[in-house]
Amino acid sequence: MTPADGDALLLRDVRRTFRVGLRLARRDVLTGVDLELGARATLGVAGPNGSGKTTLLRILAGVDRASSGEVGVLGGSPSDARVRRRVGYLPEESPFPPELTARAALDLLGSLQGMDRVERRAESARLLELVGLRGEEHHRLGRFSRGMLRRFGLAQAALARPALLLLDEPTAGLDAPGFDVLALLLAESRERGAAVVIASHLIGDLRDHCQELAVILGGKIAVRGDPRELLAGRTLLDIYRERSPAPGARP
Amino acid sequence: MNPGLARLALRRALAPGVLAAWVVLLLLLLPREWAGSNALVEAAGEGADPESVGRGMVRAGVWTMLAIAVLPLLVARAARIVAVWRAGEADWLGSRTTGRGAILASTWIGTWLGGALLLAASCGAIELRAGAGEPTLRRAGALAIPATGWITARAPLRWTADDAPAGGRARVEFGFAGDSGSAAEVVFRARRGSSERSSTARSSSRGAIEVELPPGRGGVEFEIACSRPGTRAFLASDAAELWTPCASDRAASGEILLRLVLALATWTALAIGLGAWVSAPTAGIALLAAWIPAWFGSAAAWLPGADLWTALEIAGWGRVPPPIDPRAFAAGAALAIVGLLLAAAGLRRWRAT
Repeated sequence: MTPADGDALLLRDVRRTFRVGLRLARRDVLTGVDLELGARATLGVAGPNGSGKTTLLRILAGVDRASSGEVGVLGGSPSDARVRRRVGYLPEESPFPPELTARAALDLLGSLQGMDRVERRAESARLLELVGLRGEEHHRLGRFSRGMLRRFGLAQAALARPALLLLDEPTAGLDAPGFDVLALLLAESRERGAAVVIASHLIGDLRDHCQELAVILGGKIAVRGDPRELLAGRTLLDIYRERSPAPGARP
Repeated sequence: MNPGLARLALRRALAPGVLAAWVVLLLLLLPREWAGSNALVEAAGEGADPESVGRGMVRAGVWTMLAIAVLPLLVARAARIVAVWRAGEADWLGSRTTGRGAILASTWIGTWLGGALLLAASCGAIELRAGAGEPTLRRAGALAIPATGWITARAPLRWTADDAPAGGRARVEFGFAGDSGSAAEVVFRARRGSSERSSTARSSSRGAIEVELPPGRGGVEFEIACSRPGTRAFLASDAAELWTPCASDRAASGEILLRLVLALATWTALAIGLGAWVSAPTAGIALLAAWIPAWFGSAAAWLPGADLWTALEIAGWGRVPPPIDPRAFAAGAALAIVGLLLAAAGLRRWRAT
């Protein structure tokens, strides 16, 4: 399956099941996600802890594979290197190599993304400047504060000028300058025509940056719409309560 | 292959903790007196040069301790690589365009090179401690001996080897089988044309005797006999070890280093592969269990590292182990590929939870 022209994402009945514990018990995280996202759109993904937001973003980034269903990203499969070359991903944590300097880590990540040396150098310098880490580029990531690491994470996600930017909890742990950095990067991505998916718990992230909001409950997208309308006079918790599957209901 | 990732793996193989453990170990091992006086007296009694044996004991002792302590540390760290990735790094490794094969190969090469650098540095330190090299003998193969029963003064064992290099030595192990006296005195002769060399050794239980090979070319006639009537001996080996001259006993450390580096290449790849399926300790134990039969028998001499303990023993005599069996290089490459394929299969999904 390939997304229609202009679609950044096209997902049909995407499921992901994990086997956990010694008895390999089944744990269904995604139970049938259907999703379409046009190019240039910015989608917010919300949901309670363990609802599958991170798993969904990992599947879109090619880190994980769906157990079943169809996943179309930028006209191809996320396992295709040509597709991944055009996807930028900020993980929820910041598991970047602590022994490398910010500059060396960006160089490594760029080389793994297939960027040539000249391109890597130019983009690394530009992005480190943009995220306010130019003065720290020769410091090891292991010495960075959490906020600096999040800013570094934003820089590495934008390194290859992606056509699809996947941001998992981008403001979690972000320091004060980081909020401006996030806004700048999102504006730059939109200018470039990139689609953006933001998974977040925070109403502010979803309302301020997203044109659409999808709420995952019970492993499926339970509600989707304009975040300003959905969140008018309500909290995310209200939506979770209203839309949660009845106890005992099968997904 | 990604050079940046290989450099990162090399750096991780040489993590500060590993380097600190290595330095402490060398500081403890190198100043130690490895050549016991009994061993040197015994060596002198067998005609060996005590200084050469002393240097050999330093090599054998320090290399053995490094093989027991540092090698498992390097392999255990390799077994943890996939677990570390799965704990978080998979998010930036698995979302890039570089494929699993290139990521695994780069990481393995970096990990292996890191370990190899540490072992090469160890080799330099050991040779500095052992002192200047001297000419010695290198194990060069074996000369078949026909099946035999008891060896006595009246019934010596005779056989002919088609060719054996001049200046080398032939060595056999024998045992005292009883009758009169409390020990067997054995004479070992080697004759080529008109030249003959002989030696005598005495043992009350089990011992070894070697004879210099006469000059010239062509077949060599060997004879082993008891020197006194009434005593019986038996051969404890079915072949005579052949030893050829070697310019320097430092070659012993080179041979041991090569064996360790080759074994490390195989073990790190297999550890990475097994570590993608089971926990790091289980992977380490599985590897150890796989090599134990090779160390206690000769069935799998082609396995990398299978003759490590034999090589260390030879180095302890002040001599040089034989070159590595060429099949071990092929087996090492094949096993490394198996290890990396195992890892690639285990990482079909970078995330398991």
